[in-house]
Amino acid sequence: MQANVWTRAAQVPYDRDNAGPPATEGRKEQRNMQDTSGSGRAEPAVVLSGVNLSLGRGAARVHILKDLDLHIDRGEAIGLLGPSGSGKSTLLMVMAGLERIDTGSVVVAGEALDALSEDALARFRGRNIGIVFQSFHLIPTMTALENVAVPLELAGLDDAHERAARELAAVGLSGRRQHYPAELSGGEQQRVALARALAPDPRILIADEPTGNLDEGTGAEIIDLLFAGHAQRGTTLVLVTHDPALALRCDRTVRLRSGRIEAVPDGAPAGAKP
Amino acid sequence: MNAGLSLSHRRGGALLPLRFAARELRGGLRGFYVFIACIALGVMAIAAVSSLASGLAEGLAREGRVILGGDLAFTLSLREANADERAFLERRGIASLAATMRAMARAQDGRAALVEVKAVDPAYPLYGTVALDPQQPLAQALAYRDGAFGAAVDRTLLVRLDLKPGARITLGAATIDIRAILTSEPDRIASGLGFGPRLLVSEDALRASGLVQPGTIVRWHYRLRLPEQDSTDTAMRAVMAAARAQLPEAGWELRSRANASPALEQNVERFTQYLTLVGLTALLVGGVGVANAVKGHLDGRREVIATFKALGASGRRVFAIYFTQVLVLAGLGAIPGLLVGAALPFVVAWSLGPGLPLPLVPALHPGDPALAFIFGLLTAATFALWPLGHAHDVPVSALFRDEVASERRWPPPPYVAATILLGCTLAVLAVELAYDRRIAAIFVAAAVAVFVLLRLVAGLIMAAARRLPRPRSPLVRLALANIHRPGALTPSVVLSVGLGLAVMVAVISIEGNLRRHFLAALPDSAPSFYFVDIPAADAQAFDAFIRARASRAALERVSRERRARRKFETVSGSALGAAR
Repeated sequence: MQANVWTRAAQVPYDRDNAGPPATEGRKEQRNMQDTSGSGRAEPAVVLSGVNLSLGRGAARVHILKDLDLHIDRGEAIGLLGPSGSGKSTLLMVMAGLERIDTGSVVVAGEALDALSEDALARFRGRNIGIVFQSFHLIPTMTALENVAVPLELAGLDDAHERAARELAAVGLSGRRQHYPAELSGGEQQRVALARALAPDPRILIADEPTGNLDEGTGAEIIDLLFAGHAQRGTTLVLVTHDPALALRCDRTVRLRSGRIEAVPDGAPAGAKP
Repeated sequence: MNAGLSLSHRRGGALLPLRFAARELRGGLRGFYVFIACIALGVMAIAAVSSLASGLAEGLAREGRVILGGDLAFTLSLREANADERAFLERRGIASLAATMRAMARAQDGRAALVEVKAVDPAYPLYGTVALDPQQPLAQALAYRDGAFGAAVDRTLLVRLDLKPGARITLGAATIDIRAILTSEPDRIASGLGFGPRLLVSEDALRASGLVQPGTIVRWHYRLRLPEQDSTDTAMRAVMAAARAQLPEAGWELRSRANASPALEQNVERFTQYLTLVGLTALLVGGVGVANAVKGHLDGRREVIATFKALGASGRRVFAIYFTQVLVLAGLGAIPGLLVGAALPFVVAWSLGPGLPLPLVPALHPGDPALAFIFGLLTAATFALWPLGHAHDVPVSALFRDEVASERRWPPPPYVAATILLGCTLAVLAVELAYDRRIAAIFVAAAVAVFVLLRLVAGLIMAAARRLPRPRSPLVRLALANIHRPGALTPSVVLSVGLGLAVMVAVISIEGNLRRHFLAALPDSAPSFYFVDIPAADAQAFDAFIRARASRAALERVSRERRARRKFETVSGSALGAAR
């Protein structure tokens, strides 16, 4: 099972005896898997074409995304950089089907999101998109286990709690199942949020500055877990960050400015493929 | 390779909203106390009123023959039944006479009190029992012995005349010994309101008193007990039909055990309707509390709602979760409300006991609390739908960026339609189940009008605040801005305060109208005292007596004549004296 494979990898930061560099190796593994898919190029995870999006009404209306084209391969990890207000979060929301575009097209995991109804979009999101927020956004009246089980229960799975328990174990929080978010540290909360995002085995994992509210050490642990999950499951990762060093861990970096994708500077680890 | 969630291992999510709603409630009931109290009070009021009314209706139905004093009652005013009429009654069952009139009972020290005389024959009562203190057979208590007739009286008479059981009084020319206190009289309710305490004597005593004169206001009640084997409703109706057919000139008032006390039944129904409307008003006002509580709760849960949506919940699923929560909370309020309401008849019967002047039969009528429960849930649902509709539209974007909530003024059309539908259902239910549908319809229309009016007033206040010049004081500027800003509480505050005031004004107006109604029934120069059945021969002496003791009193004499139908002769000229 995918989850079990990742479970072993994700426990690395807490299990020094089994320490190793699984994230990097896993990613290579995944890339190799893609390369052997037959066509030489896997089905893209995300394709945005000519996307325009404005928000607000009347005089307050702002053009956020401008003629944006973006192509993300399946299993790829891209770092999304850009100053505040450049449209990073809006771009994530468009990919997650949380914001409807004005013009253009959005195809995620082979599904044209524009054609989906609200209910279908919700179902699609539950099955295919995992989101990690900067502020965790755990549900305060639910235990850690229940928080992780939410997307599985919403998807109608019988074994939601068993799977959630495995996901919690994967991030090293087996002993915290029955704790409420208020009883967890920030790092623990983010680990629960990561377990929740990965629990449905999403095709695409979206992380919006996941370490923004954490100290450096805790943030590093979360990032390791994030990349481990991405690598072991072959999940496409879209990571928004202000940290260029963190972006360098991704396969490719995309820089946004004023709603447009900037040209990728020379020497970047991977080229943008807008 | 990752392929998202497998479609196997799926199950229906029918219980999911309940599960999630229960988890949401772990946060405690803070913010919902008003919600629960509103529903509990409204449901309690409706359940209590309908349970009491059912208990009374059942009492009236079950005790009909006891209240009436027989299966059938034939009442004549001012004259006794003639031989043909008596013969008609005696042929059809056991007949009993109870004559009632008002008279003065006079103690040996000269003090007098107005009494409601009831003179009965030995067959009385045909149904039920007369309870006396000390216990003794009625015949024994009323019998003539030692030169006096016996009587059973209300305790009040003893207090008024400062007498003790065993005391001797006079009634007209008859000497009466008070042999017992009347603690229970089975057919009392049907007698209606009395102007004085009861004096229960034998028919012989009444005749011996000399008070029964031509023209004296005496009501002669002839009760009929049908034979046990032939006492069905059909037989009862047959006797009534025969009475009308065979004795069309009798002019008596016919009543059966089915309508033993029409006035009381009508009063019970009116009382039920009035209090049901009061209960509905309580629910209506509570509904505003419900809406405010739900809106407040959902405002505080926008982040959680957005999280649900980010994790795969549709707007409808979110609605289902919070709607379930509202129903659970409404149930939490409604259940104690209906329990208390349903228990009220038992409490009333237990606490007032035999002193209760109404035939209350406390019983659990499941329909009554069930109806109150439905009213409670319907109200909660109707008023919660609007804010819940807004929850449907909570954007997930709030999780990604700080933004001012730009809540739409109207929820999505399905929620507006559902709100209207539920509101109409509530209104139709209230009107259909009302005793007087016209009044209920007016009530519903008025309630809707008040809502619309108050919303308009809120809009005007917001518009005025928007157009006011910006004051220099930041505090005042902020306060003004809070009145008209998007999502301002102005509409709900105006609605809550306005509706509360409207209810208070309505209650005060109703009370005032009732008081005016009663006062209007009294002439401006309403007499302070009435003196009835003064023989014409004593009229002058009576006038002189009053003038001597109250020289400034105005006396109004009203004479009553009765023209005997056959003899065409004036038989009496009684005086109704009034002194002020």
